[in-house]
Amino acid sequence: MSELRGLQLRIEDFRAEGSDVIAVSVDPVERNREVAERLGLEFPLLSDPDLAAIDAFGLRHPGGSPFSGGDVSRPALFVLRDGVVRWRHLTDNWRVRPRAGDLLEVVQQVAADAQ
Amino acid sequence: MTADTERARNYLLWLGPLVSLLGFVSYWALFARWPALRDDPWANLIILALGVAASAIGLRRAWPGSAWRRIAGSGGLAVSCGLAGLLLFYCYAWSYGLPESPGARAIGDRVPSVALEDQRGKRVDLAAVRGETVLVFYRGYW
Repeated sequence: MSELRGLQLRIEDFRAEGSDVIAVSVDPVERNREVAERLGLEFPLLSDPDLAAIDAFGLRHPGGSPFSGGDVSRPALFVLRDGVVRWRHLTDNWRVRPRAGDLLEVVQQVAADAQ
Repeated sequence: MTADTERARNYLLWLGPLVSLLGFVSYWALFARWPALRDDPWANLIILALGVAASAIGLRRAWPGSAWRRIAGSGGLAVSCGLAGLLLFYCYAWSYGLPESPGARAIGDRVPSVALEDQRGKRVDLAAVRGETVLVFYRGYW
């Protein structure tokens, strides 16, 4: 997936801004281990098969998996700071996501606003 | 037109649909990896346009000629146009099929306390994460 790979390519830039990256999907832990190894991802991929976090964030997409027809998360991005949502992006087209470079600017802005 | 030149020219009958198929499949297989070619599938649309053009020229060159070549040419053009239409439909209609998510967490909301396991088996509580974090929800690899 280009989104996770794109974030990994800029992971040092995110760290330099004092920001971590965490990803969440319905995939099981074993699948996440495979994907992280294959794509060389260093940040945590959290496994949410019961959609606990996905529902807590209000992101359930019923029947959203084209293959299994199961429920998945809609694509979404948040910037969190000290336990509070500081920025969010809900794409209206699942192919189109903010790019890592644009996200870095958001991260910088959130850090600046917190000062 | 001699039989030889007819044969030599009619490679477009199969090349057209083949190029179109390449232009269709390569979106997922290759070009979607780069955001610039994923958000709007320019590379694929160019390849598909070449495939449709080759199919159309191949069909035109099937006259005069055997009936099966005309049928093959018509089928090839239909395949090329169909694949181009499918890609456009996927990119500009189907992939907008997402829920509104009116209850999604908004700016200023507290991060809910949910603990999940990462790929190394470590449990992470989202509410306990300190500092700044980019939290990505993705659809998974199925």
